[in-house]
Amino acid sequence: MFSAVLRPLRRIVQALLAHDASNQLALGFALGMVLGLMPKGNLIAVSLFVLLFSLRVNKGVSLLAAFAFSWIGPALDPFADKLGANILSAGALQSTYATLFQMPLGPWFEFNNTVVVGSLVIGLWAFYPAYWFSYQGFAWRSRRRHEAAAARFRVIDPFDVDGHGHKGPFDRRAA
Amino acid sequence: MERGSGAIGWRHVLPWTLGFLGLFAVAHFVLAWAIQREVVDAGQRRVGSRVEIGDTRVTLVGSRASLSDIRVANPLAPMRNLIEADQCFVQLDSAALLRKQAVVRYGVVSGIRFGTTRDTSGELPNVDLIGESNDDDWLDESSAKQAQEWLDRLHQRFDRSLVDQLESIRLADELLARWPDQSAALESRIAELRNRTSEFHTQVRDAQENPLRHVEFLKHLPREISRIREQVASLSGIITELPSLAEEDRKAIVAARAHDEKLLHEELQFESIDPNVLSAYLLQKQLNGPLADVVGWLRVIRRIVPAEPKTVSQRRHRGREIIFTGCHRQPDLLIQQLQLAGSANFAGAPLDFTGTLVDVTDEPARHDRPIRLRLKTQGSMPLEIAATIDRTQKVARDQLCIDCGSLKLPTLSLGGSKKFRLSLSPTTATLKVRITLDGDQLSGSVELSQRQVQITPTVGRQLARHHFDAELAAALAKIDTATTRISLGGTLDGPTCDVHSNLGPAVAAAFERALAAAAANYTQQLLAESHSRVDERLALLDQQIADAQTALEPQLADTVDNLDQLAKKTNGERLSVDQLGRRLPDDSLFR
Repeated sequence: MFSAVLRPLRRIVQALLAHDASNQLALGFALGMVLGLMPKGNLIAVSLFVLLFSLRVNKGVSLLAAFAFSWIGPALDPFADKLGANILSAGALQSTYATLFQMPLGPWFEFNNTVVVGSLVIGLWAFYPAYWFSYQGFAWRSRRRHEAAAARFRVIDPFDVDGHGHKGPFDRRAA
Repeated sequence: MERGSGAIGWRHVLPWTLGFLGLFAVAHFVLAWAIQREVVDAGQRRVGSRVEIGDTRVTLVGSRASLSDIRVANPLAPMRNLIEADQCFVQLDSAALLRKQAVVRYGVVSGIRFGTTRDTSGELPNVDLIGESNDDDWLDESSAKQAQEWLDRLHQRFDRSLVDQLESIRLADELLARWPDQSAALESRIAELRNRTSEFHTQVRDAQENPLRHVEFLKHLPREISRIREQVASLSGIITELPSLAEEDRKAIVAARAHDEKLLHEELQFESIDPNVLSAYLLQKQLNGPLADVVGWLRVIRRIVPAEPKTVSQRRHRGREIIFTGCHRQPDLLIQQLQLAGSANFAGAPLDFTGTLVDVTDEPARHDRPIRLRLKTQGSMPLEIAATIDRTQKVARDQLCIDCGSLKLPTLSLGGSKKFRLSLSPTTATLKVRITLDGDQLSGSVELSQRQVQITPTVGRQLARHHFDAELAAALAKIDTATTRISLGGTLDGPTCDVHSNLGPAVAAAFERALAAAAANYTQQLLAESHSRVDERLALLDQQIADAQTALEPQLADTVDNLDQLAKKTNGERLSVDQLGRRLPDDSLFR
C-alpha cells in the first residue's frame, strides 16, 4: 500500500536522476539553458520542453539550468530584441516568414516576436560552448568521485594508466 | 498466441481511453475556469470596476461557451451595475484558435438590464473611478442664476407693503394723529374759561357783599362779563366749526391719491427677462440628468475602448511583434456578431429591446471595421439607437444616434424654484440625438419636440395672491408645441451645452402679459385699500370730533348760563348815588 503511494514519486525522482553520464548531463544543461533564455509562452518553448523530455539527457540538470537561465534571460532582452529584429527584418525571407506565420498554429510559435527569435538564436549559438564547458566540468567531477571511491576501497588507481607507479591524488591524500 | 491477446490490446486501450475521457472532461472545467477568469480580468481591466460571472460552461465538441449571471459594476456609481445579463452564449470559431485568435462567430446575450442595484460595492481597490465631479459644472449655471435673481426681485416687488408707502394714507394718519392734541388744547381752553368764570363769580359775590370796597370792580364788571362772553362765543364758534376743521387736510388727501396712482404705476413696472435665460432656467435642471448620463456613457465607452491603441510594450512584457510583408495585424479577440435582448427604462417607462452588436474586438485598431451597435425597442414607444465606435482611422470617432418618433413623456416639472415652476402634462414627443466624439472633441445636438403640451404654472404665494398664476396659465394655454434643442460642445472632460427652446420666448411673453395684468390688478387693489383706509381714518376723525363737540358744547353752555345769571344779577342790583346815600349810616358824615 505504502509502496504504491510512493511509486510515482520514486519514478519521478528516478527520471530526474537518470542519465547521469557526463555527456548526458552536459546535453541536459545546454538544452535547459536554451529553454531558460527564451520566453515561455509559445510553441517553440513547448517544443524544446518536449524535446528535452524525449532525449536521453539528465532532466534534473536541465530543469535546474532552465530555472537558472530564466533569471538571466530578461537581462539579455535588449540584445535579443535587436538581434531578433535584424533576423526578422531580412527582406529576402519575408515571404517565407509570412507563409510560415499564416499556417495553422503559426502564430502560436510566436516567431514574429523579436525576443523569442533573438533569445533562441543566442541559445543555439551558446549551445555547443555550454555543452563543452559543462561536459568538462561534469567529467572532472565524475573523476573526482571515482578517485574518492577508489581511495575509500583501496583499489588500484584505475587512472594510473602509464603503469609508472605515479601516485595519484588519492594516494597523496592517503599518504 | 497468448490467452486474451488479439489484434487490439484491451489491457492498454481501456485505461488510455478512460484516461483521455477523464482528461477531456477535466479540460471542460479547466477551460471554463480559464475563460471566466480571463473575461473577469479583462473586463475589470477595461471597465475599471468589478465584473462578476455566476457560472461558465464550455462544450469543446461544439466550440461553445455560455456564461450566466453576468454583472458589470458601474465605474461612476459603484453601488449600481452598469450592465447585467442573465445569459451569454457564444459560438467560437475553432479554426481561428489555430491562428491564436478567439473569434466568436455568433453569440446571444439575453436578459440585459441597465442600472440595477448591487448589494456590494463594485469599486476595485487601487483603481480610480471615472470622475463625475464636474458633471454638474458643465451646464452654464449663470443663466439659471440670473433667472432666479429676476424671480426674487419680482416676488419682492409684490411682497413689499406698498400700501404703507401711499401718501394719502400717510396724510390721513397724520391728520388722525394731530386731532388728540387739538382736542386736548380745546378742552384745556374750555376748562380754563370755566375756571375763570367760576373765579369771577366768586369775586362778584364778594363785591356785592361789600360794594363800597369794590366800587371800582363793580364799575368794570359789565365790561369783564362781556369779555368772557366774547371768549365763550369764540370757543363756541370753534367747536361749531370743528367738522370743517380738517377740510384743508381732506383736500390734500384727495390730491395725494393722484400721486399714489403715479407711484404705484412706477413701482409695478417690471424689467423683461431674456427668453434664453428663462429657457435655461426652465430646462437645465431637467436636462442635467440625461445629458450627464449620455456623457457618462461616452466616458465609460472611452475607458473600455480607449482612443489610443495599446502599445506593444503594454501588451507584452518582452519583445516586439514584427508584421511580415503580406500579413495583417489581427485582433486576439473578435466578436463578429452578438444578438442582444433585454429591458431598459427610458423616460421613466420600461422597454423591451433587441439589437445587434457587431465587430467587437479587444484591439479595434487592428480590425478594419468599427464596432457597431443597433438597438430597437418594441411596443408603443419605438426607439432606435445606433452607436459606432470607430478606431480604424487616425482619430478615434464615436457616434451616438437616437431616434424616437413617439416618445411618451411623463409629467415634467420645469424650473427648480418654488417661486416659478411649470408642470407639463404627459405628452408625446419626438426625440432626435446626434452626438459625435472626434478625438476628445464633443459635438452634436439633442432635439426634443413635444406636441399638444398643457402647461400649468406654479408661482410663489406673493404672486399667486394677485391671481398671477391664473393670468399666466391663460397666456400659456396658447402654447401647443414645445421644441428644445441642446447643442453640445467642448471636450469629454469639459463638455459645454447651449439650450434653445421656444418655451423660453413663449413663457417670457406670457410672463409679460400676466405681469401687466397682475400689476394693474394689484394697483387697483392697492388704491381701493388706500381709499378704504383713508375713509376709515376720516370717519374715525369725524366721530372723534363729534364726540368732542358733544362733550364740550354742554360745558360751554354751562359757562354761558353762569354768565347770564351773573349779568342779570349785577344789572338788577346796580346802586344809584341816592340809593348809595341812603344806605349810609345815619351818623355818617356823607349822609
